Amino acid sequence: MHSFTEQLLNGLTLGSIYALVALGYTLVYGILLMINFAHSEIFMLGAFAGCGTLVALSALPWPLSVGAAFLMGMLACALVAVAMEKVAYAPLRRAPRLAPLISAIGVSIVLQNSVFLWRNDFLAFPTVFPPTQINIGPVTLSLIQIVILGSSLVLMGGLWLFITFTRLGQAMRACSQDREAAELVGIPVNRIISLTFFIGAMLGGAAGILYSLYYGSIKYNMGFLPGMKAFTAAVLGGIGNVPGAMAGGLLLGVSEAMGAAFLPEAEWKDVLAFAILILVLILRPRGLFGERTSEKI
Amino acid sequence: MILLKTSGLSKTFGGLKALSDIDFSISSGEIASLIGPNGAGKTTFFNLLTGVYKPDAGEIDFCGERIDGRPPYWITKRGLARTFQNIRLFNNMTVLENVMVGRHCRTRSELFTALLRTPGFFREEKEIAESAMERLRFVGLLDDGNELAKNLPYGAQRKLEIARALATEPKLLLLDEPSAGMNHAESLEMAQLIQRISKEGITILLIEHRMSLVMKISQNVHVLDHGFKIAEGTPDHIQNHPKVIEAYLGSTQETPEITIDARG
Repeated sequence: MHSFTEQLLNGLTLGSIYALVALGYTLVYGILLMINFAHSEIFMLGAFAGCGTLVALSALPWPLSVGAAFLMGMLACALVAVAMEKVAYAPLRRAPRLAPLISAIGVSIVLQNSVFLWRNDFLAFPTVFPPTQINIGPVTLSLIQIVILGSSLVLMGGLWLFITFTRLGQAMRACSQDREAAELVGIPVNRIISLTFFIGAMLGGAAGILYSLYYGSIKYNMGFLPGMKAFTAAVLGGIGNVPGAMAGGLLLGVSEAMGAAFLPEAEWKDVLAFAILILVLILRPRGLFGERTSEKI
Repeated sequence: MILLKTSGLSKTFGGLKALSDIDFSISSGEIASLIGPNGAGKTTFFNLLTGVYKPDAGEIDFCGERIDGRPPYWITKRGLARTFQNIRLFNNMTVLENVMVGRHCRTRSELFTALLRTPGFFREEKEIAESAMERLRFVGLLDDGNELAKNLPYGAQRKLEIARALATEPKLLLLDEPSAGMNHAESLEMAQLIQRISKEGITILLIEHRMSLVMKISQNVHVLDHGFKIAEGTPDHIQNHPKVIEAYLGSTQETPEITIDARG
């Protein structure tokens, strides 16, 4: 049972990262009904910006430098995402739905290749955490796992509070339910869309940093697989649904960790994760938390 | 004082002229109605006033300012609010939240005050909830504040839409068929609600098919037919206007009952 609990924790750690990224997909989809394929590049940019900050501030004690890395990474991602929306998606607001999708793929390629031109190899991510192990009963957790789980929890809780209780959060929900009606009761929809990209990218950037703290290296194409899995998690939970993205991410992370530990070959873990996706979609086509989707445009 | 005025307003969809050269005006404090057979262009007119469509020609002046070509949220902020023919609430939000969304354009707090949770932020959130409840009380939905909008009965949804529009603090309120689908008693209640809104100093323009309601509460009636304005005047004047009678009786054979006489 020992290793089961530990795998569960490993899975939750990985899953909370997927969940953070999945939220970015789901928030944008909720408002624009569009899959932002460039979101995995935001994840990658967050890791690079965080890495740069950590290297620059390596003289500081780790809580300070890590804090600064998160701040810089999240802010950089948020600004890039807002700019990307203005340049590549906003002009296509009234275009057929395929057009912004293709534009998103284009943005993804541009961002990835810009980094590729600069550095096309693996970069070591600074190891900032002391390799402390903490025992809670029979379970051993590393400090980095605690940091990942704790900060994801804080970010997700903060997001939930924000969209549930604040005026801007309400405006976001209103836009996702009926964009035109929202604009007619005085919501500046374009500003709310920018805000959505801003928040989604902050979460994605933070996830990129957490992921590279966990695995210790970064590369220009590091966003692809986690991005794919986070997208899967968003669909699993019911795309457009915020609690769904969180649950989907955790479920995917746990199934992957279990697959790695208990299947005959660890490589089968992704097969297990995606088999679960297929099963869920057969039984509940709108995802675990998904509601009846209505064609809104 | 003239609150809103259009001149030469026209809108074409493909080859179809939905509205041709509409001159219209409404004074502060007035209750006016816009009537006409189906497809006359009434909702198109509302959509032009609120910025959903841009006019092909003509201009719209509201409070002495050109508003044509402006985005809907901007126009709402200037004091022009509306409801919809097919109710468009935020169904998965609570009744209170729907009205709070209407307060958005009258409040300011930005992302950073929300993240930093400044005292001003909390004060403002409280003010929003309180004034939203005030609107709910006004339309008689105070007890349903925590219900999801989609769970309200039909008549209450219409009232909620009005409360949401009132939350934007309009000078002019456009109501698109407020009594559609209501029974006689409900429509009388709606007439009273409209008159109470008017007493608050809000000017009202409504699209309505129920002539008893139109004739009872309007000071002025404007008639559209096939995109043209064919008449305007007091209810008495309109009821006996030959062109109006022809528009209703002549062109819609199958519904001669929608005449000008007062009917439930």
